[in-house]
Amino acid sequence: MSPEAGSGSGSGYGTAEQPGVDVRLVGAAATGDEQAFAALMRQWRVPLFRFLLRLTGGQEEAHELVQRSFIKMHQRLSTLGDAARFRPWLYQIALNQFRDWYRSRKREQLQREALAGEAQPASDLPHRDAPPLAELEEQDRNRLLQLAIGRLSPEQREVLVLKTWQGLSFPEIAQALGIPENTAKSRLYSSYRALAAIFDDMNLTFNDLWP
Amino acid sequence: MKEQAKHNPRLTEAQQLELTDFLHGEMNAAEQQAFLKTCDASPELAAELRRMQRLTALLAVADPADAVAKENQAAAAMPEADQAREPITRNPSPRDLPAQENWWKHWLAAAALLLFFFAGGALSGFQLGWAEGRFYAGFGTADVPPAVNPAAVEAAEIREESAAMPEPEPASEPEPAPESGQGQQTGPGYLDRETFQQLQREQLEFFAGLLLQEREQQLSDMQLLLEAYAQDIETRRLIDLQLIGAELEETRMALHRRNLEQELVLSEIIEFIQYQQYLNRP
Repeated sequence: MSPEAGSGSGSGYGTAEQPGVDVRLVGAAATGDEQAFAALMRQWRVPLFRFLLRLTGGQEEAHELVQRSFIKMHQRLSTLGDAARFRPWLYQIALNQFRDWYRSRKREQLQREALAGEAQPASDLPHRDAPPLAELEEQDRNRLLQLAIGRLSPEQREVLVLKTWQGLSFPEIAQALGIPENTAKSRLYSSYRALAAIFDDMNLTFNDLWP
Repeated sequence: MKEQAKHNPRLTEAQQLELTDFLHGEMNAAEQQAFLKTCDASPELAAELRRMQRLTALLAVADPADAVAKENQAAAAMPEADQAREPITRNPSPRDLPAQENWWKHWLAAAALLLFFFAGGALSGFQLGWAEGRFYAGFGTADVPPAVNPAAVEAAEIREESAAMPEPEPASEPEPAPESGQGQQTGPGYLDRETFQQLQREQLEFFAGLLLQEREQQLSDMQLLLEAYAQDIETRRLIDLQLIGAELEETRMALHRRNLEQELVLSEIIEFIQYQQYLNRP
């Protein structure tokens, strides 16, 4: 694909949801400037929170993971060579926190199921929390979408959220996930297909989701 | 998506990548045209493109984070809603109901009850009345016992208390009250006003003496305490003076010792110089 046709380089001014990277601020924070680090935290607190909220589906979990991400950021910021790579680097840290959280939650769920003697196979956590369709009829599409995303695998969920709502380019996604760019694209297509299949399972049409 | 449930195209990996690039604007104009031509040639790819376009359009206007935030707001507002709903959903007890329309029945029943008591009382000789400053109620004729003088009772109590106290001058027994013939009741259980007042005066004098004695005792104790404190302070002061004197003496001795040492050193130096002069003498 042509290099000029990308969806953004990840730098610039950005928005409150998807802030641009202030290279000087990142550089100052990396050299130990505490005020710069505090400013960086203020700038990225909301985007990271919403990112982790989309992945986890829980406010308390998102808050906790944001805190952990900032701690990791503080510990490793001096190892960041190129400040322009800050955005995918930060998302990579947040993704690692999410993956740790997801593994521990799944392990706890398996232990609970083993104790309860349930023979049902383990599935995605938010999927198990999803209410039946009859209860969903009155709710809006955001809730339906949140439930559907909760049924995706963590890998599909990550790439979908990074591309759709965090606004990362494919090179940035590839860097954040540590995979080749084409793999990121394939994974995104796979997540689209899985999401459509989930809507089919929920017996929903686009008219239900988009009145 | 019911109509698309059976739609399950088998795209090649290259087609998947192209489709993703097209959806996210990763193609330039020439590449887009080429991809659209490919879609024209492949209905399956075109259908998949339309499906994915609708899905990405939906994702562009929806956000799961908003759903979580909305849910939390609803949960936060839930207690108020429950409170507002509670009076409606609760089963009202008869006590909570508003006044009934047949409220006059209660008043009628109360009036009938009172009438019944009055009629029954009149037939059985029940009497109510006021005699000699007292209210009485009973059956038959009124037989009021003689009234007990409250002043006499109080005086008797005071007298008993006085007798129990270790008073140096015991209160004299009240003299029998002279008959005044002015309606005052006399007898073994009654005291006249003068006797009672005298008893009161004696009590006051007794308590005044007791308080005076207590005060003198407290003054005496306080005097002793102050004397002991002053003596202790004086002792401490003397000890401190002795300590200061000893310190001064020690300092003086140290100074004297140092002077002696300096004199000794000077004499040694003088001797050394004299000895050198003696040796250098021609």
